Amino acid sequence: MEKKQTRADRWVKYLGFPGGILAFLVLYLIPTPAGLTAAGQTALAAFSLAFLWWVSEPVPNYVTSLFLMILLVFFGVRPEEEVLGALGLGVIWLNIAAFVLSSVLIKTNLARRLSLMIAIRFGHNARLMLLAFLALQFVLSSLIPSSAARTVMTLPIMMTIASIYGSTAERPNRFGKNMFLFNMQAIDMSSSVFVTGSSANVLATGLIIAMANYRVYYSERFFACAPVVLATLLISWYIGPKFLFKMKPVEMKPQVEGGLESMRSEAKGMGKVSFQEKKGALIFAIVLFLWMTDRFHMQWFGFEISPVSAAILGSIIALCPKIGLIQWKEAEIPWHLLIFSAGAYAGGLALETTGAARWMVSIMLDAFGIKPGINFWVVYIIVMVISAYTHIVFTSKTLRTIILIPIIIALAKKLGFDPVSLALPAAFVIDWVISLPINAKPNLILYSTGQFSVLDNLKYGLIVTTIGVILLIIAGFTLYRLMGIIPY
Amino acid sequence: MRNHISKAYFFNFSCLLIFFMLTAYSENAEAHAHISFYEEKITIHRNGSADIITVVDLSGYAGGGIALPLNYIWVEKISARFRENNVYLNAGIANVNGIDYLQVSFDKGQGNNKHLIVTYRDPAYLLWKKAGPGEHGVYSYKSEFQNTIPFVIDEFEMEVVLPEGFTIHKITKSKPEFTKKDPAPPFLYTNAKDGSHLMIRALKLGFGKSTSLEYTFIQKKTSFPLLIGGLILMGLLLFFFKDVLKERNHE
Repeated sequence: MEKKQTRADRWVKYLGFPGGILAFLVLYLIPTPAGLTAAGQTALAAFSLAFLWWVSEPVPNYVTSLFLMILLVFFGVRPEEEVLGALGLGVIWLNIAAFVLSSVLIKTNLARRLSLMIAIRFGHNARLMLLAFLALQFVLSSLIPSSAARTVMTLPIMMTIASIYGSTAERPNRFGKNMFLFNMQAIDMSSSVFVTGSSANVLATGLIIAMANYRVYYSERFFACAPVVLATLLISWYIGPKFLFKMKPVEMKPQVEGGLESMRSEAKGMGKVSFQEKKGALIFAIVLFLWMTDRFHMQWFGFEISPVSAAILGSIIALCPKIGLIQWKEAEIPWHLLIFSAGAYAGGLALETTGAARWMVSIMLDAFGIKPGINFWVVYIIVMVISAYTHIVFTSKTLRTIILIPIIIALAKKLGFDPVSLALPAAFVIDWVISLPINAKPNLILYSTGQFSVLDNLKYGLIVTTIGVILLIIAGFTLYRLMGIIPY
Repeated sequence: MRNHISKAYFFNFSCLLIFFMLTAYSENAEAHAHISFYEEKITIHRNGSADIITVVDLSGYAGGGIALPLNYIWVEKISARFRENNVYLNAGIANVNGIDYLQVSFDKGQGNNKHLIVTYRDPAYLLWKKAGPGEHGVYSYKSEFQNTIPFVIDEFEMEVVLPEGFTIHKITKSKPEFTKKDPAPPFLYTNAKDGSHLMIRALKLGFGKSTSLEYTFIQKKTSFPLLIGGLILMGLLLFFFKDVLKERNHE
């Protein structure tokens, strides 16, 4: 992609390389802080180096990931087999299956047919197209609990529409950045609206019932969370293409010769849905069916088919000679990005298993010096800020829930506040994992398309998280008081 | 912990009961079946020896004298007193059916509502050769406590202070186990001025039950070569990548 780097970009890149090494040396060589193990300290030092390199990109991100893995092994943070084993994690396999399934829909032209339909309907306005995706992701999140499954399902359409707008992995443009990052936010944040939107939500609900003796109803969560999430996403939809990744007029139009007219004639020319397309749709329908019926698997089959296994099953059918639709080489799996993902996950897991992530949460809480007698709203703001921003150092929403929610409930009890008034709003932000590719499976899958950089993700993610936190605080003062969630 | 108490002693449980009835139990054994709090603090020294301080809450204990679990093969310099009145007591090792106990003598009812403090030394607690160093200069060890007396310990805490100059590297295993479903681990670790501390807490530790902590530790980092090497590398990167600052179009 032809991209003129700004002066600031060049300095970030220049200083990022030694800056990463400096961060590692400082964090590794300072005396081990109280409450942190030496392994945790080294994990933190190695992750900081990798974080700075991923963001400043002095070397390709997969090189950084490989270096991070080696650091973790060399410095004895985790055994070699565990670090290298990150390449065998479910999220990596889901990525592979996602690319196989996407290739099926792309090869059979089904993705193009669907994308043309959407592009013809909304193509005159690229921003309206993004809004259509928001609606789609919001509806899907109420039907399919797995955010990764929703990502895999919509990925081929996103990729095809991005290519219609001239954004490909080789030559990504700002439409691509907006499309993929906004979809990431819509997928992740929509999950928080529904009790069943993610396993972390179910867990948080269980913890609130068990520890605060309060039953969270589906409708209560929906009416409390949906306005905040939708308002945040609408603001994001406005500022993304308008300010952060401002699209040039040319990027806002389909990059197809002849424009919309040509797309209409192309759609007409495609004729009726072919047998191959039907076959592709059937494979996808089988996978989708398995994703949507996961709660009945045990009853039907005597075992549960995870979203990853369902996607692999679809890939097997798609790759099978005679009955399948594609060959392995047609799947175009981006191995360099899978290597990046594996390294990033190994780093994230090192932070979690060594207790470094937990330690960071506790020092953040300690740093604010919360003591009995403090005003409720001060605590509310601190708790929301910590709950929202700690997602940066976690790869697991469930682990973050297990760490945060009991701490928040205990803190509320200690200070004499109603635990639900802090724990429930904090539970809303658990799914807001939008700042780094490693924060959640959808992020990794979307990052693997090569349409945006880690820095793009971080910039947009932190801004939208901040908007979300501000709206959550406003909702605390208004809506949650009206709903009785906050009795102060 | 080096000593592994043979399973055979379970068969000698009845003999042990008689021993306790003679030494610790008074007329109402049921009333003394619990110890509300029991703490063991093990401070390990660089030569491998360890100073051990045991604190036992004797609230409600009406018996005369008590036998406490002794999980070490070789101990010396045993001393016992009540925290409340600083009265020193006779203490020694008793062996029943091949199992050692710390036997502390005091008059019947004297221990009630008091904290018993027993201190002693194990000259070879940490066997350095056995501990390591393994890969990456890491030492591995296991500290374990087994309740060998027929009392249920309601709350047990074991604290290990690592030798001077060493810091905790990782907790590799614990009993009770720390699972992903637990909001907080049963263990704690902290680095204080007097060294690295590890603590494990167990509740309702019955007769024959044990709690343990497996951990690795390393020498505190003072890696001068790493610092110098890193700084040189940083300088080289700044020098050789100067061209990155030049304005140009990137592919």
